[in-house]
Amino acid sequence: MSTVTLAIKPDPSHVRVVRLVAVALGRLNGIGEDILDDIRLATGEACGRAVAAHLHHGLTRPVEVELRCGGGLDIDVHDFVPLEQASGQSAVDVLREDTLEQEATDTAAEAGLPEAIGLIEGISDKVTVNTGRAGTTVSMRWAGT
Amino acid sequence: MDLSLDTRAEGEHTVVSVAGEIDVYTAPKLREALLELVNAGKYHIVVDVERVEFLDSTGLGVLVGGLKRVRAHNGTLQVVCTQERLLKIFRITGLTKVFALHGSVAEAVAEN
Repeated sequence: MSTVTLAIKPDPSHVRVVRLVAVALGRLNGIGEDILDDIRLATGEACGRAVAAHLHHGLTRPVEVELRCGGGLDIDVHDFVPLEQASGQSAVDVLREDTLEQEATDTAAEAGLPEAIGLIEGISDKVTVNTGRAGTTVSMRWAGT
Repeated sequence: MDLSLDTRAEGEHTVVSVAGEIDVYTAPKLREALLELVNAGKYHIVVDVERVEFLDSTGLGVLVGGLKRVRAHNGTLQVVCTQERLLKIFRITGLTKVFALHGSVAEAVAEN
């Protein structure tokens, strides 16, 4: 098991860096190109959501990402916006509410469909979401080839 | 890779050819371009994403926003896309029912 940990400042331009690292790590570990496309997209969705949450809530500390390889690829994206404690579908509902609130108040950020998590669910083998006072962790897994 | 936009007129339609990556960082540039077109009275827009290498939900959100704006003026926003990896994203998000997706600019322009 090899682990790469990244901390990116909450700036949309840095999301691309995480996408590149995720794809490079997947490729190094023999994951197929079609799955790498899904990894690229899901990682971007999770990091973009986390960065937007930090920006909306005025947090300047970095978003943290842990990527673990070994029999597949696991990626955890962690933001530090305190939310109601929940897990599974309830946590997804908490995130959707927070995203909708951002869209309603951030005129500069019209975009970002609240379905970002739904999109991740559609392209990864497993997704778990946990929200709480310490922030939100979106964990994604791909089994490999 | 950054995002590049090329806009041209095709009869009543305005074709926006997009190349590069449409993500949380670059999507605002596309949103501004679509806003400018609508503000200039261009209500029939074709967005060609054939040279787009990456599209995320932020980019889709911009397209949905553009569609809402042109519809307010009885306009249309059509998308030219044949890349399977992008079509997959439209399918997963259910947006194949929202957008008219075409195989070429000529097909889109001939639509209405």
